[in-house]
Amino acid sequence: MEDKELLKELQEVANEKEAEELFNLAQKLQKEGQIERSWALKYAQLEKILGEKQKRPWHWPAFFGPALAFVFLVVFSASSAIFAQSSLPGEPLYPIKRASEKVITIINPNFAKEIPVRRSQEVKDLLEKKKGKEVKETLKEFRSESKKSGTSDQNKVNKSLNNLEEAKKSSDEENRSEIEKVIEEVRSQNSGSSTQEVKGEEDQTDHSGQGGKTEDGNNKGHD
Amino acid sequence: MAADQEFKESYLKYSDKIFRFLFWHSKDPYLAEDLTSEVFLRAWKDWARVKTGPLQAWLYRVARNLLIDQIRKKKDLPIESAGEISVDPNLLEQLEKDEEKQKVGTALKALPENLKSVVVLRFMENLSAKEVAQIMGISEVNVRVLQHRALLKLKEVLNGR
Repeated sequence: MEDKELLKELQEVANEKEAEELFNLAQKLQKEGQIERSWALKYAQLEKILGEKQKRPWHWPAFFGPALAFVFLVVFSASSAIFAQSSLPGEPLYPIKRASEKVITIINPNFAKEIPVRRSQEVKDLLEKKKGKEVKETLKEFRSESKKSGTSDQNKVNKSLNNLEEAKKSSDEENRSEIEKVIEEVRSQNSGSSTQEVKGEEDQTDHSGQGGKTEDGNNKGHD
Repeated sequence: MAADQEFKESYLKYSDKIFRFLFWHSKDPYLAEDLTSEVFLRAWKDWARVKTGPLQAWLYRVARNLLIDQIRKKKDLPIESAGEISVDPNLLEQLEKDEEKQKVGTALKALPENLKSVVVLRFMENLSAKEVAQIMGISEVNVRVLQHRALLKLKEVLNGR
């Protein structure tokens, strides 16, 4: 049925105003009359009538959209977190890197000791890429994280110190002096705890004549 | 093309139309689904003959006859297909919640059967006056008269709310 055809038919039996009103009503009936049954129901009926299993054309299930969105979100989040690990302060993915560190620390508290190493690596990378602006702030973060994690893991402490030494080579004078200060702080922090360990051992043993142990004896050869 | 493939295509093409025709007449989705099934079962049983003629008109006529029988005898028709009658629950929910559809359904109830048929076939199913005439077994002129009467009555009923 063409709209024009119906309107013309109505105009033959009614005045223009009434014909238009009736035409609008017909349009409304057309709109409200639409009902569609589900494909599943139609195929079920068809199967009953034909008496055999019908091959159904594949349709996207109703939940597909939300499920795909969820999967995409998970994959995107995971990918962002992975790509973010190599990001540096000032880069768009850096907040994701920092957030992921917090999450990992909750799951694995030992990871906290890795964080100063990461900050020290960032200092080194920033200077290699000539992005000196962010170095001060990152060193501040390194100090704070080092204090939090302590010096119990010597390997980690050594890694951090190595990174900072490397960073010194590519830095300008201002940053270099700042880095040197931090290195000194870490070493004295480290030797402080070593002294406490030695004292602890001395307290425990009756004889202290084993010799060779100095205040920073544990740190010799690590510079 | 194999007969069952032809039938399947015709079923998928026309079954919603037949359902709507039956639903808007009866306002009962279960009855509409039941009778839709019956219409197509009868078509399938006589498919070799049915498919040679104007199929749409044949389907609507059978549906209309089943409906008239249902109204006259006011008893359940023997349904040859086994199994429960199922209706799409989403469709049921839609029909219950859609106020405009409810209004239209209630207004249609006020019409006699022949006017109802014209409304459903001509306006809801978008058939031409000629096709409606063929289904209802009346002339085209008669269809135009009935459609005008039906719209006037519906307007009166809908505006009276």
